[in-house]
Amino acid sequence: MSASLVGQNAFITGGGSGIGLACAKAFARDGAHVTLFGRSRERLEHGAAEVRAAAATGVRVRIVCGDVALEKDVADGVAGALDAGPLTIAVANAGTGGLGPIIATEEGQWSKIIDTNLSGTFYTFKHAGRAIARAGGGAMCAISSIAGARTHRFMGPYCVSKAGVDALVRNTADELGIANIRVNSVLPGLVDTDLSAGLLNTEAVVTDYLACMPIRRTGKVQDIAEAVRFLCGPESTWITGVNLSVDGGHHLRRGPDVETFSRMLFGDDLTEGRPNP
Amino acid sequence: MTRLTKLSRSIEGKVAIVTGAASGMGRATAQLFADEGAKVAAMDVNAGPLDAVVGEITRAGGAAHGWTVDLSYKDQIDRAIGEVASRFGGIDILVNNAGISIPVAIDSAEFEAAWQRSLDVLITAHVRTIRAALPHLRKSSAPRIVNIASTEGLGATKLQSPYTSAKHAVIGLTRSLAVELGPEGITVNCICPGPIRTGMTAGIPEEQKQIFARRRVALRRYADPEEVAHGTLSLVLPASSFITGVALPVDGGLTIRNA
Repeated sequence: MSASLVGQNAFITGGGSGIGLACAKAFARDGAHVTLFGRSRERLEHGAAEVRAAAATGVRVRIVCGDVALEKDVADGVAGALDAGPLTIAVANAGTGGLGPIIATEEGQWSKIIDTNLSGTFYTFKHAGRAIARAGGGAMCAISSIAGARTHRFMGPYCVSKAGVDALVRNTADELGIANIRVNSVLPGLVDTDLSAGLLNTEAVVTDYLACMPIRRTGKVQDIAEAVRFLCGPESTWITGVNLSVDGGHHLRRGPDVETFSRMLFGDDLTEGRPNP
Repeated sequence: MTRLTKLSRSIEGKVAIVTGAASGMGRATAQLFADEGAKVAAMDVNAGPLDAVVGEITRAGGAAHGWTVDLSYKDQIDRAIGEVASRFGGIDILVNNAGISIPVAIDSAEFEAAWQRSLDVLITAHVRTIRAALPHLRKSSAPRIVNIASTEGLGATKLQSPYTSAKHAVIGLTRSLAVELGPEGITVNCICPGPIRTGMTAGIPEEQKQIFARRRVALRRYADPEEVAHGTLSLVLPASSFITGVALPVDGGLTIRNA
């Protein structure tokens, strides 16, 4: 049985697909209004239709187009969410990935990942945090990754962005406890989404992931969404500043081996730390 | 509407063992699980308060039975868990909650006794309940183990070395068994409760509680036991099938500052 979220109002970045969409469905199922924020109007509209089909009676579902890497877009998104009432929940989910050896990573690749994953979470916490504080309190949750807690060779910028997200979560939780705002993150391992399609389609990589997982299956977006729903709901009133792994136990072991991709894309020399002169 | 998802968020009909069920977080957990429709096997060393908790649940229309058990004794654990399985027809959920706190200095004459008693109840008992319940958990469709550790499992307080050592051990046991039992679909997690209003903290004067909360707890208060019980409930849901090996602080933010 799920407790009610009736009267709650949630803002979700990257809400049009994958984990963000699954979170939106869980919130709407339990009665919260939801605002989906993302870059692609088409994806948001498609997602909103799915959320409406899963929603409890009286739930309002809206979409706002924008890029989390741009502060003004996020501010506008939060303002849009206020149409449904005071904001009480925010999920900083929008994220992007990339692959390659650190010694071959272009500045643009680095900043794209940091801007979206880390700065995007900062903009979301800043603007949603202000709105939730005005509402008298609530909860924010970031989607981090096992990559924030364990090294993933050849996924350096991604790992750093997620470690930054977890630090931002703890610091924001420590600052905003006084405003009755709880702030946590969920750390998924391998989950079946568009972002991870490349990993999932490569047998050697999937085999290595599963070998490191006590519960040997690929994560589902619902696994993550229910944990986010818990951390944003009335069942977790004493939980704040937590980085919660939801990964079939993968965090107990080492990070995954995606060396196959690095060899494919960058060659053996750069993968083995031998840059050409 | 028709449900669009498969994962169940109900423990209705599940058989759940809760140790230390006569007071504090154990009592809140037993009551919450009963509210959610589980059959609660309540264990405690204190028979009178245990009867009272079982009575409250059954009078409210819930399913519960009490077992008076001193968790320092393996034979008492084995017998009680065997009886739970035959009375309720299996075991789905085990919550190792019972705890004691014996403050003692490392050079005290009482140290050896305090150390042994603390480790018996706080860690050896967990191993024994898990070993006794395992054959039954293996037959469950959603087997779940939750150990109640403490923020002392992540930090330390003076004069609490037996308690702190045992709580660190609970986290180690949790992680190790998560890896060992994960392939069978048995999840093993622990919760690290922070400042809670229970018997263990009842002796701290209200003024001291408020000073502590203001200085060290992000949410700036002590919590009620029920707020921890909801965390435990979340980890034992059939839907929580992908969370294992975690040490989840439920502490109002105490450990953010490594307090």
